[in-house]
Amino acid sequence: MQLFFGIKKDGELIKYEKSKSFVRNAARFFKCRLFGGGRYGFTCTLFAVDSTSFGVTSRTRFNFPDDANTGVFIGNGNSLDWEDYDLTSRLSLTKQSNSFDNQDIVDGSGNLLGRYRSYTTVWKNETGSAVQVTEIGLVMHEADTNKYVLLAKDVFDPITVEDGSTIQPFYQLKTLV
Amino acid sequence: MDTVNLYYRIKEEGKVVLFEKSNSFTCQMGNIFDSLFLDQTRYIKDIGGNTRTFYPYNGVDVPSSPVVIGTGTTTVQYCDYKLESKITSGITKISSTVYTEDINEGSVKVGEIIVINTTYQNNSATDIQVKEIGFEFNAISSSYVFLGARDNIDYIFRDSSIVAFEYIMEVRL
Repeated sequence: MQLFFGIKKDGELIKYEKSKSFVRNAARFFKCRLFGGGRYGFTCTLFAVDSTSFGVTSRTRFNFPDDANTGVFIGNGNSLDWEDYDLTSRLSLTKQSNSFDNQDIVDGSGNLLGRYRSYTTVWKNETGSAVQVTEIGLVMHEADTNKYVLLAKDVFDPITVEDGSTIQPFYQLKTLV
Repeated sequence: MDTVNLYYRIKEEGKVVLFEKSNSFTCQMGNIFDSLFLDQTRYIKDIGGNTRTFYPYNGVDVPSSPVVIGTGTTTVQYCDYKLESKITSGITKISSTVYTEDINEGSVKVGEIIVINTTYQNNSATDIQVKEIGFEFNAISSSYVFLGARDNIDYIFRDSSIVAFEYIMEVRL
């Protein structure tokens, strides 16, 4: 399973590469939700973007609603740490929408080889001046506790977003044989 | 570097004799990911070929012998739901466990691995040509078993030997 991220600016794809990573929250979620959790003595604590902690249970699951606190967020920080719980420095552009797309990967005969799952947020710069984007992060909503959790984060060279332009960061999870 | 790497590993008397990157999670596992990352219902096939409804708040757990081996040689398909020919006799499970370890670069923690281990002894009185390996998990209820991964391998499981079969899931920067 691979995680990619990409960025479209004014509808044009300008960056697409392998993500640096899921962060610790994702690892904790995988191991505690899928592989036995407390039965094996794992630490099953996640940290929300507001730094509050909560334990992974058999009901823990995420979704990607079109709300203010969920999305692929953008920022101008430049640090990346395994234990990050939020972007380093979020930018306050105008959020347009969140969307999710699920796409099959098939060979020439139509055989299913894998699947893409993409999480996208569209932002518009209405600040009155250009901004520099250097980080993105995937923040999802935990449905059982109503927490917002950073699951992946990446940093990169600055991308300038002029006033009036849109930027469309996305994360894409790929499973493939 | 992939961000979630899946490997399989075979150890004889603690010594690694095979360590390879797995093909992938199956679509059964992919559907579980879908469900848990979208809070939506998905349908997955159990190892009996029956379609089961998975709700996002359904439990997922590790069965008593999570890593399974077989003699089937068909090429791995994304939506395999069982080993082609699982070995169910002539071997005895010695132990199984799931454990985690940190990944460090110098003094900096950069990730974690989850190791799913099942150790078997071959007491069939003959060598066994192992041609496939996978891991299974329980979902919905303990009575339903699903295949999370399958790989084609080529390994001779010597008579009387005790061998650890493992899957390793790595999440790292």
